[in-house]
Amino acid sequence: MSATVTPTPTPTATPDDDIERPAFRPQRPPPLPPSSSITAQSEPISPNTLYPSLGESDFTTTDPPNENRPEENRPTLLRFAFTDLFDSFNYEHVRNQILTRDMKTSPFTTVLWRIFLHCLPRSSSQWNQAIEISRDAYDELVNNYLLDLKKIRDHNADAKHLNHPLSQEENSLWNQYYVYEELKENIYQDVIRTYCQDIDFFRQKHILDLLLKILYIHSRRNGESCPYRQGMHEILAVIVYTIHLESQIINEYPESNEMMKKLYDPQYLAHDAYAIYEKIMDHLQPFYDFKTNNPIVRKNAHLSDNKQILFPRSNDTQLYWNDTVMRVNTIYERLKECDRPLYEQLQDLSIEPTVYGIRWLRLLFGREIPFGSIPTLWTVIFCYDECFAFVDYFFLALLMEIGQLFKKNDISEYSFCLQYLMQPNNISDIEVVIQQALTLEKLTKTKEAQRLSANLSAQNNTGNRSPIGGVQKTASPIQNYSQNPLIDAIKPNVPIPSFFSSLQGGKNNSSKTPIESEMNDNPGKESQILYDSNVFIQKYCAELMNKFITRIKDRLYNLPDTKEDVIIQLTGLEQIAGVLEGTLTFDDSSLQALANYKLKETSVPNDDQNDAS
Amino acid sequence: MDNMYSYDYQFRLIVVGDSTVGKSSLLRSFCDGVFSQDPDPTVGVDFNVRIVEVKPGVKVKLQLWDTAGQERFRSITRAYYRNSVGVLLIYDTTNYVSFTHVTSWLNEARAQIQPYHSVFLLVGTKIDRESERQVTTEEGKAFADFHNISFIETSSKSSLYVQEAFTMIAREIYDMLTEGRIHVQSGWDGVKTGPKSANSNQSQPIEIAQNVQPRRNGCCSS
Repeated sequence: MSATVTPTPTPTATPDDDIERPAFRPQRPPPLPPSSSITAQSEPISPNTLYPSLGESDFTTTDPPNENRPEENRPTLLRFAFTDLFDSFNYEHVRNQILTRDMKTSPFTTVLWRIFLHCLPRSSSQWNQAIEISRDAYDELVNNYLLDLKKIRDHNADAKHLNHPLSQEENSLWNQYYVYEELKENIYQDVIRTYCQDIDFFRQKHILDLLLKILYIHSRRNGESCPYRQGMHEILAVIVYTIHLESQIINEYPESNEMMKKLYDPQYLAHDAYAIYEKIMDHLQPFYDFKTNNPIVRKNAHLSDNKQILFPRSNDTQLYWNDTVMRVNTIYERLKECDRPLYEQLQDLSIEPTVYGIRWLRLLFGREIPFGSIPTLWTVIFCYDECFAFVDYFFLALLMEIGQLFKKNDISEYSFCLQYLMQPNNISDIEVVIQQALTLEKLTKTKEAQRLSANLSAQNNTGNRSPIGGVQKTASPIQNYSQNPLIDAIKPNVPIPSFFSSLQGGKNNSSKTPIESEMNDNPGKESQILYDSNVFIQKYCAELMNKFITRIKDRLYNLPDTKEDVIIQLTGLEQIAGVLEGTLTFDDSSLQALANYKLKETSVPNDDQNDAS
Repeated sequence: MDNMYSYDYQFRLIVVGDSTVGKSSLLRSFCDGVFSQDPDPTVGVDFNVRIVEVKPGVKVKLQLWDTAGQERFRSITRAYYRNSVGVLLIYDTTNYVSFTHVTSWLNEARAQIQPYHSVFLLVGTKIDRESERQVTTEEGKAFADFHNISFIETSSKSSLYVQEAFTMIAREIYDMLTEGRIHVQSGWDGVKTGPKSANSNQSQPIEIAQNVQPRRNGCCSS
C-alpha cells in the first residue's frame, strides 16, 4: 500500500486513481440535505438537483449544455442574476444586502467568496486573466510539490548514489518521497472520515483524492507557517462541496454564458478550491498555531500561586504568542458587555472559553451549525471585512444563544453547561444567530463611537497630549496608506469616498478635526460614515500590519538564534495592531513597558511587563 | 438525569493516544452506547461525562477529556494533563506504530502531571478486528507490567470491555484515595467531592485533606 504512485501533475481532471488507498467504507446513513444554502433566491431547485448521483464524467468532461433539457423554465433568471450581479459589481451594495440579510443565499456564493477573498478582482472584465493566472499558479504548485516516481527515476541517471530507494540522505528524492508519503497518510486519515462523509459526494474516491491533493500541496507550500492540522480538511470540504453544487447547476443550465462556464469549469474544481482555501487559511492559520513555547508565558505560569492557570486570560499576560488562545479570550471578555449574567455564570463555573472556542474558530463554526448553512454564514464573514472580524460577533452571538439554552433547560452545572457548549449542531436556525451577531456589531460600534468622542472631548478640554494620543496618532498616517499605490493595488475601491473628500476638504489637518466637528456640529449620517471609514481603515491597516509581523516572525523563528529583543519589538507592534483592530483594549503602561525595554535587561524583560500589566 | 447530580466523587480523566486509535469511539461507546465507524476527528478537545459505581453505594462521576491525537506534545493538550487524576493511554491493536508511540504519550503525561499523583491505564482498542491484529495481548501486557500500570483490551464496536476499562481505572483511583495516596486538594481538579448528601454518612471513609502540598516524587502509581 505504501508503494504508491503520485499523480502526474497535469491540469486534467482525471481522478488521481494512482494514489492507492484503502477502500472507503460508506457506513453512515445519508444526512439531511443541506437545504437552505445554495439555492437561488428566485428559483427553487429540487433536492434531486442538489443531490445528483455523481458520475466520473462530471469531472472529466465539459460537455456543452444539453439544449434539449426539459427545464427551460427556470433559467433565463439564472443568467440574468449573474450578469445583474457581476457585470458591474457593486461591492458596497452587495455587502449591504448581505449584512441587511436582504441577500441570504446566492446561486453564485463561491464567486462572491472569490471576490471577497480577493481571488478575483471586483471588475469582471479582468476575470478571464485572473482565473487563468490563478489556475496556472496551482498547476505550478502541483508540479513543484507532487513528487512522483517518474520524476525520481528521471533524476536517477545523474545522481545514482543519492537517489536510490534506501538512501537516507536528506536531499535524496527517495527519502523525501517517503517523508511526504507520511504526510499524505496523515492527511488522508482525516480526509476519509471528514464529517462531510455523511454526504455521498465525499464517498467518491476521486473527491477524497482531490481533497488530499489540495491539503497536501497547501501543507507543503506553507509547511513552516501553516502545516496541515486536523480540522483544515473540513474547511476545504465545505469549499469543494459548495463549488461543486453550484457548478452542477451552472453546467446543467442551458443558457450559461461563457464566463459562468469558465468560472464553474468542473475541470478546475481543485484549482479554484485551492485558491479559496489558501485565502481562508491565511486568516485561520493563527487558530491552528500550537506554539506556546514562550518563555514569558511559562514564567508567568510559574509565578502564579498553587492554582495553575489552565489558559491564561489576555490580562494575565500581554506577551502571549498563541493567537488562538489570545483571540478566544479576547472575544470572551467582550461577553461581559453583551450578556453579563452569562459571563458571570461561565466565570463561576470556571469554564475556559478555549475548551469550546478553539473548535469554533478552527472550523469557522462548521460543526456548530447545520452543514447546509455553513456557506450562508461564511458569506457574511467574508464580506464583512478583511480580517474576519464578524467571527467575533458570531462567536458571542452563538455563545449567547447557547446561554439561552441553559436558561430554557434550567442548566447550571459545570458538566452540563460544557456539554451544551461542545455539542455539535446546537443551532438549527442560523439566521437568528447571524441577526444577533449583527445587532451586537451595531451596539459595539455605537459604544466605540461614544467612547471615542468622550476621549476626544476630554482631551480637548485639557489640551493635553494624554497617552490616548497614542491611539489618535495612528489616524494620521491613514492618508498615506490610502494613497499608497501599493495598498490601493492590493485592495481596489477602498470604500472610503466620503472619508477621502472630507479629508481633502479639511486640508489634511490632524485627523481629530473632522471627528471633532462631527460631534459638535454635524452629528448626522455623514459623520457616521466618516467614523465607519476610519474604523475600517484602522482595521485594514491593523490586518496588514499583522500580516507583515507574522511574516517577519515566521522568518525569525526559523533563524538559529532569534534575538529576544527583536521579538519584544514585534510584540509591541502586535499590540498596537491589536489596539487598532479593536481586539485589544488600549493599555499605555504595557506599551510603555515594551517601548522602554532595554537590551541589557534581556534576562528579565517580562518583569517590566508583569509590573505594567 | 438526576443521577448526574448525585455522586460521591468526581474524577477527571484524560484520554490520549495517536490519531485514529479510537479515543473518541471508546468514549462514545462508554458514555452514549453508540458506535460510528469513522467519527470526525477531534478538533482541540472534547468532553464527556458518566457516572460509575466503584463499589456498592459509592458513585463516581467521571469527567472525561478527549484530546486530538494530532496534538501530541502540544500546549493545548498539555494544559489538560495537570488537572487530571487518571490517564487512559490508548493504542490500536491493529496498528503497531500506535503502540510504539505509547511510551512517548506516557512520558509526556508523567512529565506534565507531576507533582500530582495519577493513575494510568493502558487500553488496546479494536479487538473485534482480530484478523488484523498487529499487537499481541502479551506485548500489551508486558508493556503495562514494565511500567507498573493496568492494562485492558477493548472493542468499542462490540462494546467489549469498554465499561470494564473505565470502571477499572475509577476503582484504582478510588482505592488510592481511600489509602490516602491521592488527596482532594483545592486548586486541583483531578479529584473533587460530590454534592451528594444522601449516602455521605456511610460512604465517607476518606479523610479529605485540604491544601496538602503534592508530593514531589512518585507521580505515578509505581
